[in-house]
Amino acid sequence: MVSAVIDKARSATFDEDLVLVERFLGGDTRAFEDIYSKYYEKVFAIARGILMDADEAADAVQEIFTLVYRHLGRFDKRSRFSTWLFRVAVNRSIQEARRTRYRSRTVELTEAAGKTAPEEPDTTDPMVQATMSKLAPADRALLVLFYWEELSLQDIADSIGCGVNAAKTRLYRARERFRVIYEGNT
Amino acid sequence: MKHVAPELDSLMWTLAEEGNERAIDEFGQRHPALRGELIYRIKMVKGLRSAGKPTAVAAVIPKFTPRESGSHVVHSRATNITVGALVFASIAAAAFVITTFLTPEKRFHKEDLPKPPPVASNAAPIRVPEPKGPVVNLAPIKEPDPVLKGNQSEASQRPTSVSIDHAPLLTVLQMMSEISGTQITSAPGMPNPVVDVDYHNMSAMEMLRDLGKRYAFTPLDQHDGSILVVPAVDHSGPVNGSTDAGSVMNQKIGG
Repeated sequence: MVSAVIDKARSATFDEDLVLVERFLGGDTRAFEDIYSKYYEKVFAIARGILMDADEAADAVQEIFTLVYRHLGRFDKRSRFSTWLFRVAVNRSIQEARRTRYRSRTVELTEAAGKTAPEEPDTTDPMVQATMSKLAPADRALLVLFYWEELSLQDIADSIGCGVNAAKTRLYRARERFRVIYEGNT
Repeated sequence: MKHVAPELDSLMWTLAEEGNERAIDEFGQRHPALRGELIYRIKMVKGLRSAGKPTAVAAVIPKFTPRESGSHVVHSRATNITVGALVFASIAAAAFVITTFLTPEKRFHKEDLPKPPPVASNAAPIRVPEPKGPVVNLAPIKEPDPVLKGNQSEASQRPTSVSIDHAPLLTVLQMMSEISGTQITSAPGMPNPVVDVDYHNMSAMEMLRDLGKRYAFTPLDQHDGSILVVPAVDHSGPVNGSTDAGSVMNQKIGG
């Protein structure tokens, strides 16, 4: 009974996104604004977790939604829209992170973290930030999707374009790498 | 970290991620040695999750304006592949040009050619009468002009007709050389019996092979328009230096 209700709620969300997509493809640009405001925070979180910089993440989010805006017609509707959007976000953020990996970063991570929330006290563990910054962008993406976005393994697999078992293995390895670096920092 | 069994390791991650306090306490009672490790992981997971909390920047949603660069990003992979293919093609073309024009032309030398078969040392010396006619020039082999090599090499295969009666072998070879346009060089020690030849529509090499079977010499095509004739016994054919080959030749080759 409960699972039926959950499934119904899930399919309702799925349908709502599809309706927005169809409206936008039909020429209703306001539908895209709804998509944008609905998923901005999630996409920003993914980008920030992978890029480790709020300014770069804000820039990447605009790039990601521009891609979606221009190529929403390529969405084949076989998966949920959110999964497709997260996939675009992950790929674009990893691409951007790799591009800027060798760029000299003089800004300290703590300073970068301070920039993200200047109005409120930063509750982020600096050890976590330091550890995340030492991980590969692909590992950061997995941890972000699992711990920040709390996606299921199936959704993570869809978002990074692999099977569930592969996603589980990659997540385990990413978490182990995180643990080793975290322990080394303490 | 201490070595932990895989199932316990997995269980500790699950407990750390789910945060069920009762289950955590039970695990601590059953595995007191791993209690510290479990607490450490709980702290790690909490830190990871708290790092993902929405920030003030995210709370203010900027207005979306599609960027012009978006399409470039999508096509960047295709562009990169195209550019890469063009660069590769350019490098391949440059390498081809360099190797074609800078590599010295391959030249063939006498040393590259196969050596003639050794003369049978135990063969009985062939006695032949001293020639009374003209003497063939036995000058050293001249290197042919490399430009004319192709044409000269064809000359030894060009069919010609030679008919000479009662003339020394070396004279016959010289005349065959002039008629066929092939340089025929006789090695020292060649027999020089008086022979009759009558060949029609045969190449110089074929004529010499036939003559060689009867007068104990071997023609060697040098593939540069010249034929070297060395005294040797061809075991595949009869050796009969005293036979008058003219009549046999007429019968075999006819006209």
